[in-house]
Amino acid sequence: VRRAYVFGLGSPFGEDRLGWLAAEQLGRDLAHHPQVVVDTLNQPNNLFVHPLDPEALLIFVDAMVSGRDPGSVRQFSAAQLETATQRVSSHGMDLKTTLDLLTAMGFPPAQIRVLGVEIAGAEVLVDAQALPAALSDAVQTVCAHVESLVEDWLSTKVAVVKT
Amino acid sequence: MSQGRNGDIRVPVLARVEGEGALDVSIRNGRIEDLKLRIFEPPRLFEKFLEGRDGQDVIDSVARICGICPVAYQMSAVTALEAVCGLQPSPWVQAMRRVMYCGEWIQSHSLHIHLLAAPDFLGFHSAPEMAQQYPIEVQRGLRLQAVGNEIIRTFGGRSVHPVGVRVGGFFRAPDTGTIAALRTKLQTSLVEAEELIRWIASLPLPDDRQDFTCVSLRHPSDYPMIGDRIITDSGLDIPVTAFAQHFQEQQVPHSTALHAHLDGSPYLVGPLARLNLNHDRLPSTLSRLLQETGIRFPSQNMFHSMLARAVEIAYALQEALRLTEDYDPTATPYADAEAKAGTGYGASEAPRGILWHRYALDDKGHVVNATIVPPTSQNQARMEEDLKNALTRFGLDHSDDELRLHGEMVIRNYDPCISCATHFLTFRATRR
Repeated sequence: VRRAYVFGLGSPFGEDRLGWLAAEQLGRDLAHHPQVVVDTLNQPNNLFVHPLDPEALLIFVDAMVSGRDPGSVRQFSAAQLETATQRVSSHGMDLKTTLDLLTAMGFPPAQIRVLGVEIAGAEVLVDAQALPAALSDAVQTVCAHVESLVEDWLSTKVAVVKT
Repeated sequence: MSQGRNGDIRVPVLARVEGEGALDVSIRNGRIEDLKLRIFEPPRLFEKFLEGRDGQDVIDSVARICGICPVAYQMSAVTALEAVCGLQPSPWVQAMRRVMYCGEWIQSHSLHIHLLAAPDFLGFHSAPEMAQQYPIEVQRGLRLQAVGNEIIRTFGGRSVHPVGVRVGGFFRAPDTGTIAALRTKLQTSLVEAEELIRWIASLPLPDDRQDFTCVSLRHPSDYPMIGDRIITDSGLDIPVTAFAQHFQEQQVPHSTALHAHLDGSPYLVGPLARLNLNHDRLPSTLSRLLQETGIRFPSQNMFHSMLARAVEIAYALQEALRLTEDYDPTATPYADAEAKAGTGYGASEAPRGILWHRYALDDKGHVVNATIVPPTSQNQARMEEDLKNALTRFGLDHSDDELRLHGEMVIRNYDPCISCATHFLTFRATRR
């Protein structure tokens, strides 16, 4: 059985909650797949609380600042994340460090996807209930993209190597 | 022999510690003539920022001092603030604060052991490099860290800079389903923590016994987390309110973080000091497991700090399970408090050692002035003393690279949070 994990990164506030909003929706939309785990994380390394299957697909959804139009969605591979995004802290583990550890522990980089949603230029007050339209739409776009990735992954037969 | 050796050694960047600074060592005629742990980050002035703020601002602000021990800051602060208004938190609040604190020990210690310290003892430059050969151990450590974070998130809304703590208790109580799900993870993690103790005890930890004074909190019956008495292995037993009468903070020219002394001498706070002074408070199952390792506490080997951390992870998991066994979400997760003028003191055992707070409040409950003494600044003088002993015993005739690495290892063993004390490190040695 192929498995998939979808993690929304962020926090409960402001535009940083985009990843959580996407994960909350995806938790409902993908609930019919028992082999899919969806969770919200406020630190990427908290994903290890799940008993991860190294053969699984791992998807991360996070807000990003890259200079694109607000609400733009971009997909990255693990290798495409720049080292420059690493925080200069030994006590905080960012997404890049977490992905480095995952690949060092045998999780294939080809099965890791990072989806960034542009938030620059769409400042949202910390306690604002509603998001600007561009960001609300982006949540729907990224959710549809994740669902498509997951469905494709689950529908692909697992290759069996005969020895 | 290193007799006659002169020169300078410099470590331009010390990796795997939190913050920025430098270590300078001068070696003359084969002896360390001078050694300075330089902390050059500008002071962060948090105590000044707190002036004029109310209690909730204090609790939420001090959490921002540290990304890895915000719970310690919140607990020391809220204890001091409640002392001013004479509020005794309910047994439920006291128990759940302790559970939240367990989360911080578990996550902080797991990170330090697996990502910062263990690579030193196994000969790796980094945690990802170590993870290639020790994937099971690193994954286990990261799972433990994540479980610790989950405890904090359960009570604080999020694991970094949590927001659930208030004077009198918590803003809300977790529901029974959340605690039941958490307990399942804690039970699995406890088995892994016991495996971790055996693994750490089997590592080739250097034998570096030294004389030092241990200082920690003391609880009437439990292993200390939040407490009102401070003890030492030299016989001191004082209330936290008397801290400033015995422990002196002072400025030194080479550090923007204050040094601290106990009656004029360096001292140690942190997991090794805690375990040395409180091993009689461990549950019997954990004492037996520790005995099986063959390593005895109290220990004068500074590198047993890592084993002490592993023991505290297992203890924290056991304690969190014990305190949530018959969990009942109270209808009153907090008690209201009336603002009063006065001075309050609070101390708790942050992962790195005693974190002491003092607040003077006006009659509106606003801060008139504040003093915060973090564990890393208390350990600074002890770290310098340790470095002199450890490098000399290691042998000053080793190459600069070897001395540099050993010095870094000694410092990392303390898991210093220079960002708390203020930040870290380039290494420079002068040989003449």
